[in-house]
Amino acid sequence: MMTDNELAEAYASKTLGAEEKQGVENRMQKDPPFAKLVNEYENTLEVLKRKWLRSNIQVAKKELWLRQLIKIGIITLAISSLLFIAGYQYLKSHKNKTKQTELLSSTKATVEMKVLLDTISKNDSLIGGVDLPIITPQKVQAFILNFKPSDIKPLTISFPLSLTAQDSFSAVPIENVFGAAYQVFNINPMVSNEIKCKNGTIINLPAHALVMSNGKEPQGNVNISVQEFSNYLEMYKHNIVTVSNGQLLETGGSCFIKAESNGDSVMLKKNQTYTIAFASKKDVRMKTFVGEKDSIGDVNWIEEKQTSLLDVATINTLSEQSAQIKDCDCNKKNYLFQTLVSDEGFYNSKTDEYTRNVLSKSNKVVELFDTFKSIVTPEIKTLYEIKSKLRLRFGVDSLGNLVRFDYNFRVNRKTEKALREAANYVVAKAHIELIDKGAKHVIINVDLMPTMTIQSKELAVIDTTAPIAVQNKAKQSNMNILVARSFGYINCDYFLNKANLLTKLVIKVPSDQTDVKVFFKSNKVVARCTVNGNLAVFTNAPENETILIVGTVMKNNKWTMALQEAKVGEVISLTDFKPFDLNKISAFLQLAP
Amino acid sequence: MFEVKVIDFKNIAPVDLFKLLYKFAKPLKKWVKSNSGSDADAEDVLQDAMIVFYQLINRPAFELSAKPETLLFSIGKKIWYNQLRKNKQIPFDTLHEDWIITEEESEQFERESQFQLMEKSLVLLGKKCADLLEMFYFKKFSMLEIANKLDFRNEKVAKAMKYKCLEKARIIIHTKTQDL
Repeated sequence: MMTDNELAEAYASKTLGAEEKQGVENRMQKDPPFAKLVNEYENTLEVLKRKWLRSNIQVAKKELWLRQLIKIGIITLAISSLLFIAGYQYLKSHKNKTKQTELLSSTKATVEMKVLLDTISKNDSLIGGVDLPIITPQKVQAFILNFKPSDIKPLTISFPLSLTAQDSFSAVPIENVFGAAYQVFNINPMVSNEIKCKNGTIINLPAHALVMSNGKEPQGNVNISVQEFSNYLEMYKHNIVTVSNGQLLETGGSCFIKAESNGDSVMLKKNQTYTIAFASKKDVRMKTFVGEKDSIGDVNWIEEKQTSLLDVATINTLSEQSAQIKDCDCNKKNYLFQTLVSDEGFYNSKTDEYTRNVLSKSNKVVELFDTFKSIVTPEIKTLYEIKSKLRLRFGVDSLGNLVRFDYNFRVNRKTEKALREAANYVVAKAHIELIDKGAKHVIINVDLMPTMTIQSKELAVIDTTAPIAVQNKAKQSNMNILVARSFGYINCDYFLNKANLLTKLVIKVPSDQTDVKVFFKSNKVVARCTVNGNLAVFTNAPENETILIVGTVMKNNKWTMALQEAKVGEVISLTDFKPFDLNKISAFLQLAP
Repeated sequence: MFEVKVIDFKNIAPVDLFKLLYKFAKPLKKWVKSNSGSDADAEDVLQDAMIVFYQLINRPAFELSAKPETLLFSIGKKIWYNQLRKNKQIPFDTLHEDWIITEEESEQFERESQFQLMEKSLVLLGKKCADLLEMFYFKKFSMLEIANKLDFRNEKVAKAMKYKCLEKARIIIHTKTQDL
C-alpha cells in the first residue's frame, strides 16, 4: 500500500498504470490537499528537469567551445608547420649557398690542392678554361710536407669589454667588507621570550630551552644575536643565496641566530623547538631550511625534518600523526594520569573532579588546557555550524607537563577528509599557542562525533565549503610561522617550481675573479653563478625569467661593478663596469619585490 | 553521392539537440542585442528558448512543421518581448504584430518565471541529492547503478536517499521560493 506521498510522486513521474492514474485523478477532484500534494510533486520534477536541461546546455556549450578550440589549434599548428618547413628550406638553401661561397673563397692552398688532384687525374694543366699554375707531383709533395695544422685559424668571437686583457683582476671581498652586523637581545632563559627583530622577524623561545656546552642550563642572562636577511640588499651584503644543492628556492625570509652567555656558546636542548615568524606573505608551502657554509663561503640550505606539526598543508593523514606520537616518546606508561574531556567539561563529573584536583597541582596544565579548549571548540563549531562533541584525551607527565592529546575520527568517510583538514588547522593553531606557552611534545587530537543532525544536513555541503573555510582561516595569519630545532642559518623557503623550462644561464664576464649574483625579479630567489674563465654559469634557471645581475670584480685594485637586467636565455655580457657604489646596487635591487 | 541526414528531433539526446541549436543561435542573439539586450541577456534568452524548444518537441502531439531555426527564433523573440514588457521597456505604440502574445502564451510565461524562481531555490538542495535525482529521473539509472556511483552501501540505501532527497527538493521549492 502506497502512502499519499508515494502515490503523488508516482503520478507526477508518470509511472502509474492507466487504472491507478484514473484513480488518482478522481481523488484529486474530491480531495484538494491531495491535489495540492500531487501538484507540488509535478512542479518539483519539472524544476529538476529544467535544472538538468540547463546543465545539458552547459555541457553542449563546453563541447562546442572545445571543438572550436581544437579547430583553431589544428589550423595554428598547420600554419606554423608550413612556416617552419618554409623557413627550414630557406635556411637550408641559404646555408648551401654560404657553403658554396665559403668553398669558393677558401684559402689558396685548398684551391691549389683541389686543382692539383684534378690535374693529377686528368694530367692536364688547364681546368675549365681557367689558366692555373702548372702543378707537378713535386708540388703536391711540397704542399703536403709544408702544411701545418697551425695554418687553420680558430674561429674567434670578440665582444666589447671596457676592461682589457692587460688589466689585473681579483675578487671583491663583499662579505668581509660589510661585516657581521648583529642585533643583540639580552634574555632570561628561565622564562619564555618573544624576540622582535628590526625587520619584523619574531623569535619565540620557550622557557628552559637552552643549554651550555657542559650540558647545564645557563645561570645568567643570555645574549641572542640575530642577523636578518629580509631583503635583496641584506642578502647581497651577507652573501646569502637561495639554493639547496643546486636547486633554486624561493625565500620568505632568512636569518642567522647565535646565543652566548659569558663568552660561552649556548645552544638549544636536544629535541627542543622554537618558532620563528618571518614577516613575509604567508605561504603554506614554506618550510624550515637550515644553512651551512660550503668551502667557498656560500650557504647551502637543507630542509629541516619534522617541522610539519605547524604546517597545516602537510598534516594529512592519521598515520603521520601516529608516527609523530612514536617519535616523541609519549608512551602511556609515562603518563601520571590520563583522562577524557568533552567540550562541555570533563568527560564525566567524577573524572572532572578528580582531574581538576590533580591538575590544580600545576597551574600551567590548567592554563594550557583552557587555552586549548578556547581555541579548538569554537572554531570547530564555527567552521561547520554543526553540533559535534569534542573529546580530548591527554596525559600529564611526572613533571606536570601536558604531554598528549588524542583524537580519532568517527565520521562519515565522505566528510572525514574535510573534517580532518579543518581539525588539523585548528590543532596546528592550538599547537603554536601551546608551544609558545612552554608545553613540550604536545600532540593534539580531536574526536569529532557527528550527530544524526549532521548527516541529515546534507554532507555534500560540508565537502564543498570546508576546504575554503580552512583556507580562509589560514589566510588570517599573514606571517610565515615555522618551527626550528637549531640556531645558525635559518631560512623559510620552498623549492621554486615554475612552468618554464630549465636552462643554463650563461653570462660573459671579463675575468674568472668576477662575482656574479642573479636576483629574480618576480620571485625572491638569489643565485650565484659559477665562473669559469670568461663565463659565469648557473644551471637549472627558468627560461625567460627576468633577472637582475650584479657583477663585481676588483680591477687594478679598484672595486668595479656592473648592473644589468636581462632574461634567462638571452646572450648576456657584463661589459659596463663602473666604480663600485652600494647605493646604486641598493636602488637597482629595489626593482625587484 | 549525397547522403541526406534526417534528424529525429524527438529522440535526440538533449546535449546533441542543444549543440545543434547553438548553430542556429546567431540570428536570435543578434536580434536580442539589437532590441536593447546585452550579451548576457542574449545568452539567457537563447538558453530559455532552447528549453522551451525541447519541451515543445517532446509533447506527444507536436510535429515540427517549421525549420528548427525558425521555431527557435520565434520562441526566443517571444521570450525577450515578454521580458521587455515585464520591465515596461516597450512603449505601447511600438508594438509589432509579431510580438503580440496569446493568453495561453502569457500564462506559459508566467509559469516560466515561477519555475525560474524555483530553480534558483534548488541550490539549497546540495550536489549529491541533485545528482541522485538527476540519475534516477532523467538519466534513468537503476538503483544499483546509483548506489555504485554515489557510494551508497546498497540499493536500499540509495532508494531511501532518493525519497529523502525528493522530499527535500519539494520542501525547498515550495517554501524557499517564496523567500526569493
